[in-house]
Amino acid sequence: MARIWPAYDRKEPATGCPWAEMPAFEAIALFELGAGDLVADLVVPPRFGNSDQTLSVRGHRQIVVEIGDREDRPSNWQPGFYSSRTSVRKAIALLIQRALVSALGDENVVRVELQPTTDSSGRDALGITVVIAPFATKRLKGKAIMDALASVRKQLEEMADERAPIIHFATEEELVQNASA
Amino acid sequence: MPVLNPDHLIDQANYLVDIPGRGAPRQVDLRRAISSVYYALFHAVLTAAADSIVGRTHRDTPRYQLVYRSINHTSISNICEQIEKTTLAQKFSKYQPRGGFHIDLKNVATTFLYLQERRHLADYDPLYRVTISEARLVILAGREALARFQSVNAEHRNAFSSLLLFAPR
Repeated sequence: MARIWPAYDRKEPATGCPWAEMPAFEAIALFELGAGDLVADLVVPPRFGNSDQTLSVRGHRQIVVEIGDREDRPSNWQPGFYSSRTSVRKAIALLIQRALVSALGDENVVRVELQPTTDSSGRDALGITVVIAPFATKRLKGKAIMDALASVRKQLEEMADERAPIIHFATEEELVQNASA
Repeated sequence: MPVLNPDHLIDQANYLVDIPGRGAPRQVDLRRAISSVYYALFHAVLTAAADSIVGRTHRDTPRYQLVYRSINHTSISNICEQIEKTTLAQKFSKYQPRGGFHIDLKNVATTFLYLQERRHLADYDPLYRVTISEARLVILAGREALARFQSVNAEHRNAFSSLLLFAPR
């Protein structure tokens, strides 16, 4: 499985665990990688920014996809680390959308919007608006909704994001109606 | 004395969202629907806790009432936040069933937290606009969570109830 790493601009580009693991073909498509995005082989992980710097006050700066030598990958692709042009913010949204789609199905999820918010106790939280397809409520079962909630929670845990997800479901039409209400 | 039937609260929510022969539901109906679904799960948790400590054959006693009323919304959310984690904090982990809490109970905990946030908005936030889609999905999730909570292995449910009633030090 390809590993999705958030990287810092510093001496040690990453700590802990990858944000996600997925088939290489899926990672290539999701993070819009090209064969020319290879930045390092598997022996020495790539460094970004000032490699003497040890602090990471600016947070994660980029997304790196690690494709191992045993991965099923396009024939002209080498194993190694690939730097994605996807921003860290967008990568978080993509991974959360992926978690939702895995439970709700591609046909029921139109898109996902993230916004910082607070929970009912005033703690920092992650607002997640899940735009669902028209008639998705007719197709979905309770199990899928529960699995989706758990999937998002698990994805946040893998990203070491301790914020509670505040999930809101609506169709495009309902969002427009609410905006004009 | 019969305790409150949580299924009836979910039926009520369903009725408020899809009232036969009427047009689109009002915001107040959608808000009450979300609240009812949350309270269905809330009362199911309280009933399970009081049943585990006092016993279901004593449901008509003041002692049962005492235990039932001792649990509040925050204490449930605090435990749910622990249970849903892949690894429980050490303070809690020694009280979990062997092998950890069942995945169904973990997912119920996650759903409870989701419903609690929705309920909070529905009951208190004047700017919150409930969508019909959301209300329907809340009902689906609530009904499933209730069924899973009631069917999960009693040992797991009792361990959950114990942590709820007796905060570990």
